[in-house]
This record gives sequence, structure tokens and C-alpha cells, in this order.
Amino acid sequence: MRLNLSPASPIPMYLQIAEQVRRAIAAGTLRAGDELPSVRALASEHLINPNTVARAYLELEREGLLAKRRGSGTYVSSAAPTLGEAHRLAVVAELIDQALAAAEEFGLTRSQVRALIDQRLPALQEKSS
Amino acid sequence: MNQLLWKELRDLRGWLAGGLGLAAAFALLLATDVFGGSFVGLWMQALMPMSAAAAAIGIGVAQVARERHARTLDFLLVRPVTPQAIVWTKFVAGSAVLAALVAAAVALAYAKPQFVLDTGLRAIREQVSLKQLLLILFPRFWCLYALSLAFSVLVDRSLKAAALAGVLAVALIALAGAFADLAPFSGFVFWTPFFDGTGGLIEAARSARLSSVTGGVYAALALLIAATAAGLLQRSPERYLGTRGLAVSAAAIVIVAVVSAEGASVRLPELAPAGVWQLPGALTAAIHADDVPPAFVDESDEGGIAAHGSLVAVVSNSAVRFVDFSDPAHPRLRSTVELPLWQSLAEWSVFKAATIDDAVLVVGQKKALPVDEVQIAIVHSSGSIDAVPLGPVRPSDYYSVPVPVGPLVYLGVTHGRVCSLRIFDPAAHRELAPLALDRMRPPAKAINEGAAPVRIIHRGNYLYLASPSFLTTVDVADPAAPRIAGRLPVQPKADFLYGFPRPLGWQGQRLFETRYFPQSVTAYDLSDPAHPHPAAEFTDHGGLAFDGDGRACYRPWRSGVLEFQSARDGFQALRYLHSGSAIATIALSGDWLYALTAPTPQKPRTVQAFRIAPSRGH
Amino acid sequence: MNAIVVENLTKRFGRRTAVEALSFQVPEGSVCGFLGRNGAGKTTAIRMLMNLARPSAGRATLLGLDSRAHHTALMQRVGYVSESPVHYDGMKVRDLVRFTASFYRAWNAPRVGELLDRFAIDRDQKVRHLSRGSNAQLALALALGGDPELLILDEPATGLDVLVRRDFLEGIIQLIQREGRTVLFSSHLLHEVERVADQVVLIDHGRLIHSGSLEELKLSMGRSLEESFVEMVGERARL
Repeated sequence: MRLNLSPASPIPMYLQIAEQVRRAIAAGTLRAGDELPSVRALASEHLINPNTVARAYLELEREGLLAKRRGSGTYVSSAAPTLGEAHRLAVVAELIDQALAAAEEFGLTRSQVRALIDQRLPALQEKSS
Repeated sequence: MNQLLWKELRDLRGWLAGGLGLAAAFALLLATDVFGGSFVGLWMQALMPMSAAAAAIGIGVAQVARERHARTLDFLLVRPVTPQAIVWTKFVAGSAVLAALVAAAVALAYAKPQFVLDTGLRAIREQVSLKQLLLILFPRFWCLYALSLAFSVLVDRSLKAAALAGVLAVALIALAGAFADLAPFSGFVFWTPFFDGTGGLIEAARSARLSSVTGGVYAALALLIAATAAGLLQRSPERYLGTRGLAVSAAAIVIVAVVSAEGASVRLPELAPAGVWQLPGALTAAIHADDVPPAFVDESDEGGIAAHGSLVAVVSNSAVRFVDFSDPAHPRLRSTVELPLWQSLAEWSVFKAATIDDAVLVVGQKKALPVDEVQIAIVHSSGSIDAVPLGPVRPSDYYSVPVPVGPLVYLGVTHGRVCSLRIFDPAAHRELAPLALDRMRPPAKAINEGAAPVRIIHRGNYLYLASPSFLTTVDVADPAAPRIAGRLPVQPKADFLYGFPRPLGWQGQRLFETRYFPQSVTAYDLSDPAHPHPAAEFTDHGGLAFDGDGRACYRPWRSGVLEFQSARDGFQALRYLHSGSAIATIALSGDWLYALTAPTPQKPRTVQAFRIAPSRGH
Repeated sequence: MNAIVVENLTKRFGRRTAVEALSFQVPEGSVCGFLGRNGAGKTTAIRMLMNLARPSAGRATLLGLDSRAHHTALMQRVGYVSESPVHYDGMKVRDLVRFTASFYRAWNAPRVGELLDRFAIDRDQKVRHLSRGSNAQLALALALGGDPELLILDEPATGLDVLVRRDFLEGIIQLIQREGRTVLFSSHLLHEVERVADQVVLIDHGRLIHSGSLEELKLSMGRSLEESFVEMVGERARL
């Protein structure tokens, strides 16, 4: 699993890991039942503290995105894709909010914004969910 | 721990290989006779102690300091092993290597037994076995090694530790020399650190008791120092002394050495001379460059002195000077009598004479044809000379100091291999029948014997004579009819010492016989004067044979003369007759002692008069 | 339970004070970054922990035992790699490993072998012929050989190439996987520290600036470790 971590970032590493796993699930890269790399493997690969990885996994477990099967590792839970739906919408909604904030700052009108969206919407390729 | 010991030994393999290799090379050279026997003497006296000390210091100083500097000490210190164990392991390894090196160094001196020119060394080898010598020497070097190791713990560079150890070694050697000189008759000579010319170490090696006591103390000291070093590293792994601390320590060592020497030096009551007479010397002009100062040159480097009453005769190679000391503060030269074509028979560089009334008896050789003649010259202060011919000069003959007994003169003579006592009546110009003393055993092979001396002293009604095989007592109650009263066979300490001189002296009820190589004194009890029996033997390192007149003994010492007497197990110093110059020889007469100073280029020779009565020993 | 407790640790060299009244704790199971500028006193402090230097005042407790009184017993359980590690040059790697192993009651020979293989170190080569990087790797392998509960590293990979540095980070990570193992490592490469540390101790001019959880520090400062450090140290410099 490819992670893009910035140790220097003020965002704690475990949150960065958790966020990227959520993204992967949301994007469908990780499907229900897929096995995640072990704490040890992920820590070695990215040269990060295994405690950090463990904490990320724990967080995601609590959210219900991951499930631990005794003796055999950590897997994406069956509920994940569904939970992912809400997350996906939330992530995009936040991005839209950011765009709207910028529009407000530049003094664009609502009609200008709507026109921009309409212009760009056809570029969205709809995937089969 | 095994691995650590192995590593320490491996670290020292350079020393082991180098030392043993060098020893093997020298042994090979000795075997091929490149140096002849003379090398072995040099080795024993100077090179062996120096190389053994160098090894002891060299091994010790690097063991900790070098690792500290190279930072490999840290490697050991972060392992589960105590710093003490680290030091002890190094100590064990270093001790083992040192033992091998010292053994090799000392063994070299025993390498070629059959041919040794050096007498002193020969005496050692024939009296002390290699094992005995090693047992007494090794603890001393072990101690030096332990000290070097301790210094190594204190500093961060081997060179600094070596400097400190070097200062200490030099201080110890100087101290040992000073003690021998400043504290006469002290037993300190047995504790001499490394090797000495006084023979104290040899004497100690021969005595099992002394050997074990001194060896034991040095060994215990070595272990104590090693334990201290281990404790120091345990307490702190960092260096203890910086450059300043080093300088302070070196200075402290020197100060302690000087203070010890001062403290140990015996404070004797001193006596100053009552009168001084200066010998006239030919003032020679500077022959060489202008910057060479003129020196007083006497006619001979030897010289002797004799005294009778207050008349002192100073004898040199070609003249006798009679000096009147009746007013000691103003001595005056009464007469100078030349001895034409004359050469005194020098013996061991000390020339003695004897007096009859106001004449001096001098044994010497007179130029004559076809062969020079040995004579006794009876030199009168008035200037006339009587001569008593003894015979032609022969190289293997020996003539002793002439001893006046009553009107007659006795002389011990060795001719061929026979020692006899020859008797002369100088007034009648005739010789009486001689007394045979000793028929020497046949000469041993490979020993280059010189003329065997006979030493005589006179005490009361008896003469005591030391000849190669015997100590003979001769009854001279009737000087014209001497008879042998007793004969004590004498065992030389080693084969080749047979025929060496054994100077005699006496004080009170004791007769003293000095032996050499190593130097010792045998004391005989004279309660039955005809039959002296051995009472004690002790080491005496003060120097040459001493003069005694029965009341006390005297010998040249430092810048004057030491007055001492017999004590139960040795001697006891009484006074220091301080003349300010080294003394060559002395003469005793009644309450006075006259000392002839040794020749020096800076000062003229003098005769110094000391009033030694009434306060003297009993 | 704290793996390391430092109380008032001080070291003076004559008039110069290298470490002044240093006090901090390192919890068991954590990876603690010991940070400071060059010459801040990190090495001196670490040498005192390892009993290579005698403190002028204060004390240190490792794994519950006093670092001076129980030094020898502790060394069975503590691994250490110094800055620019020095080994017995004349020995072959194989001999050095055997020599080092002889001191320890429990020596993990297979583990050391694995590490030497991974680092591609020729066992028959003399130690003096190893490159700087290999030498540092060898030191790490030796330090891990005793299966230490506490690993202390003093700027272990500074000046070495990126691959060797990764080896060190991996070594730390592998060790920390196991229960109850603790790592203290000093470095001035802060971005590397950020990856693996969960605790940090910052010192400057021999004095403590900050100690505690890395996460909390970053959250409170709102910026990277490097920026936080620069700000905290810079502040002191300006005072």
C-alpha cells in the first residue's frame, strides 16, 4: 500500500496514515475483506515508529473501518465501503466549501460560481459504484 | 574473561617477540665470541637493568593510556565487565610477558659460563644461581611495571605515563645511590631497586631470608599498586591528570626523593681539622689552549702517609716529605728527601708506609742493572736513606706493607706460589730467617691470576696475616723469634676468588677481614688472641678496607673520614671528620689522625690533622 | 515504568560546564529523540548514562538501576553505539564478534549473523579495512547482539550515506517491535527523528529546553519538529 507521509507536517503521523487508509477505502482501492499490511511491515517499509501505525489502525478499528481477525491480521471491514460513502461525500463537500470560500474572497457571485460548475461538470466520469 | 586475557596477551605480542628475539640475537653473538667475555659484564651492570626497566615501563604505560587515547577503552567499558577486572586482566598479561622478558635478559648473563673477563660478574655467577637472581630481581621490576600501569590509568597518553615512570625510576636509582652513601651501614642496600655495584642485591640473593623478605615486600607492593590502579579506573574511567597535574606529580616525586635522602642521611657529630698542610705541587703552565686553567700537579697520583708522634711523612713516587705537626695549626715542612731512581710498588692504587722513630719505611723498586731491585728504603727525616735489598723485581711477586715490630721489620712476601713472612733488622742491615706461611694450591685453568697478596696487621703480641689459604696468627712476643701460633683455613667464596686480597683491621676485641665480590666483612673474636674464631659475617658497602688502631675504625667517606666502631652485627658510625675534600688515605698516631686528600685538578693536595682523642669509642 | 530517569545530571570540565542540572525521563517502550545542536552536551550526557564519564553532580537510573552502582549488571541489558564507533582494528570481524560475545550471558548469534549478512560485511575482513558506513553497521550489529532492553545511540549515522542511515532507523524499529524495549538516540537530523520518535528531549548549552511527547509538542507548536526546535532554541539565544 502506498502511503505518502510527511513526518515534518504538524498533522500527527497516525492521523496522516488513518486519513490515507480512509481515502483508499473511499476510492475503492481497498475493498471490503482486503488485508492491510501488518504493523511491522508498514513500519519497516516507511521507516516509522510501529506504535504510530498501531495507533492509526486502532483509530480506524474504532471507526469500524478495519477489523482485526485474531491471529491473522487486519482487514477492511465489510461495513467499510458503506461507511466510506458518507466519508467520500464529506471529503468532497469540504473541498467544495474550500472553493466557495475562495470564491467569496474574490468577490464572485453565485451565478458566476454555478456557471463554472456547469462548465466543468461534464468532465466528471461517473464510475459504477 | 578468557577472551579478554587472550586479547591482552595478543596486544603484547610485539614486546614478547621483540624482547625474546633480541635476547636470542645476543645469545648467538655471545656464542660466536664476537664480543668476548667483556660484553657480559657490561650487560649485567648497565644494559640488563636498563632494558628490563624499559620493558617494565613500556609494557605498563601503554596498557590503559593507549587504549584511552585510541578510544578502544570505551569499547571495553561499555561491556558487562568491571573496570577493575579490565585492569587486573591487563596486569596478569603484562606480568606474564614481563617475567619472560626479565628471565631472558638475566639469563643472557649466564650464557657463556666458561669465559668471563669481568671479575664482579664472575663472582655473581659463581655465587648466585640464575634462579636466585631472578627471584630477587623480578619482584623489583614487577613493582616498576605495576607503577607504570597505575600511571597509565592516571593519564591519557602513554608518553605522559612513560615520562612519569622515567622520573620515578631515575629518582629511585639516585635515592639508592644516595642512601648507600649517606647512611653508612644501613641495610638499605638490600632493597636496591634494580641492580647495583655495591653488591647489596647479590648479598640479598645469597641469603634465603633476605631474598624472601625483600622479594615478598616488593611483590606485595606490586599487587597493592595494581589494586590501586584497578580501583582508580573503577572510580572514574576518565584521566586523572592533565598536563599541569603531570608536572606537579613529577615535581612531587623528585621532592619526596630528595626529602627521603635528607631524612635518611645520618646526622653525625662532626669534627673539623685542627691543622692543614698543603703539598707543594709543580704549577704547570697551560700546555694546551689558553682556556685550560692551570692545575696543581703532584708528582704522582698515588701517595701515602705515615705518622709517628707528631711527625708526618708524606710519601710520593720520588720523594718523602716530613712535616712537623707539633703545632697543629701551623704545620711546617721539616725536610724533603728525594728518592732517586725510585718507584713505589703501588698496590690497589693505595700506597702505605710505616715509621720507625723518625724514619719512614717504603717498599719500592729501584732502578738497577741488569734488573730493577726491590728494596725497603728507610728514609730518615735528616735526609739519609738506608736501603734493605729484597731481591730482583719479578712480576708475580708481591710485597706487603712493612710492619715494624720492636726493632725489627716484618714483610709479607709472595714468591712463586709460596707466601712467607720475611724479617729484617734494619739497624744491623741483615735479614733473619723467614717464616713460611702458605703454599698456594696450583693455579686453576682459565683463571688469570695476578700476584697473591699477603695482608698483615699487628695487635699486641701477635701478627695476623691473611694469605690465600689461611688466616695465620704469629706470636711476636719475641720479635726475633716469631712462631706460628695458629692457622685458620679459609674458604674462598668462589673458586676464582682464591688469592684475592683480604684486607685486615681490628678494633677492641675484634679482627675484621674484608672480602670482595660481593663486599663483606668477617668479624673474628679475639678473646683468645692466638686463636681468632669467626663471630659474625655482615655486608659492608662503605668502600675500601678501613684503618683501625684498636680504639675505633676509620675509612674515607664523602668529604672526609668516617669514624666507626664494631657493633654486634655490623658497624656503628660515630663521627664524621669533615675535611671538605675526598680523602685518599689516612695515618693514625696517638691522639691524632692525619688524612691525605685525593688528587683533584682544582685544588692542591693537603694533609689534614684531626684530634680524635679524648672522645672516642671504647 | 521509566527506562531512563535522569536527575540533576551535571558535568563540569574545569571551569566549563558541559551539562547543567539535566533532568528528564524516558518511558519504557518508547523511542526518544535526544536533540540539540552540535556541542549542546548530548554526547557528554550520554557518556554519563553509560558510565564513561563521572558526573560532577546528579545521577542517572537505567532500567531501575543506578548507572554507576550497577553499571556492570546494566551492561548485560543495554546496547550502545557511540559517535564514530571505534573497534579493535587488528581483529577480523569474526574475531571481534566472538570477542564481544564472550562478555554477554545471552548473545543472539543468529541475529548478529543476519545483520552482518544484510549489511554485507565480510566476516574475514580486518576491521580496519571496513568503510565508515560498514564500521557503523558493525557497531549496531554488536550493540544488538546482547538483545538489549535499552538501546542508546549517539549520533549513530551522522555523516553516513542515506542507506546506512536507513539501516539504523530499521534497527531501531525492529527493536521497538518487541515488548518493553526502549530506544534513546541523539541526532541533529530532525526529520529522521520525527519518523520514529514518540518522545523528545531537547537540550541547548547543556540545559534542558523541553522533554515530553513529540506529538504533543507538534500539536502545541503547530509546526514541524525542526521549526519548533529552531524557535525554542532561537528564543533562548535571544534572551
